[in-house]
Amino acid sequence: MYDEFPDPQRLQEDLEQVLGDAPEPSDLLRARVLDYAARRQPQPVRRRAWRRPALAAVAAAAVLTLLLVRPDRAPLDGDLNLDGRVDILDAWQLSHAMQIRAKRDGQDQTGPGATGAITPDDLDRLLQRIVSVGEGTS
Amino acid sequence: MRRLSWLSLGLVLLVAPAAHAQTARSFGTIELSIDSSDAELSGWQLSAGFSDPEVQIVGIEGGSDPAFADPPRYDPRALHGHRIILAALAVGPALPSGTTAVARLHIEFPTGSHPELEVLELIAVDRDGQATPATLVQQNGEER
Repeated sequence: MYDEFPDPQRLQEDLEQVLGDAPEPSDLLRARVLDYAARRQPQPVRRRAWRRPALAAVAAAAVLTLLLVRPDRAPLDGDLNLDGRVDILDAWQLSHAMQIRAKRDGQDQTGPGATGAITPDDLDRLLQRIVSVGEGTS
Repeated sequence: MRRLSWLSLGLVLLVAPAAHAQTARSFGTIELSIDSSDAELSGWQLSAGFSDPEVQIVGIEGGSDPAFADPPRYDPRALHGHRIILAALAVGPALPSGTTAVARLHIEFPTGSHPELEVLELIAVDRDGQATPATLVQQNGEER
């Protein structure tokens, strides 16, 4: 063992002393070693030209999807049927819900002093919003 | 100076009758009905306007059908604009089908013209709260 990196000349002399008159490897052995080395050599990876743009497109689509249909996106105020706009169909839904509630509870939930979450004022406000020419309906 | 005054007076006398003729206005009504065919009408929404900016809506009544006898909702600001949105839900359990008179517009317009609403959007709601195909039928009333 060397304590430090050996001088190349000295290393060669030491190896000659150890190996002595070792036989030269045959041509067959050399050929097999070279063949083995050639087969084990890692093949260069072929880069596909379309791969990078395709990955970029997929990433962009994912970002757009998240932005457009992210689950925490708040629906329009008053868009009860979740069709992306506030119109008479939403007012019908609200009115229908009020009627069902009134029938179920056996009392007039739509009258003055009603304690339900939905009141005639809600329907009134929704209708006013629908016909507003200042804000539009969608 | 005196000559200029006479010239001005002459111009006024020439122009005034023409201006008066342009501003002659009449009042009338337009009956609005919705033809929803076999579907029962439980609500409607109409977005419309007059192509002639001289036509002005001065009042809105409910229709002759009992389900839509109350005046439809509208934004009062729309009376001074060129586009109005009307909306109403049926009152009572009996829902009409076929052609239903839903509203009557009172309008002021240039005498001799024949105002007609241009429909931008019409939504008719059926008994189940779904949009159903429908057309607007309008009929001009007597001109006063």
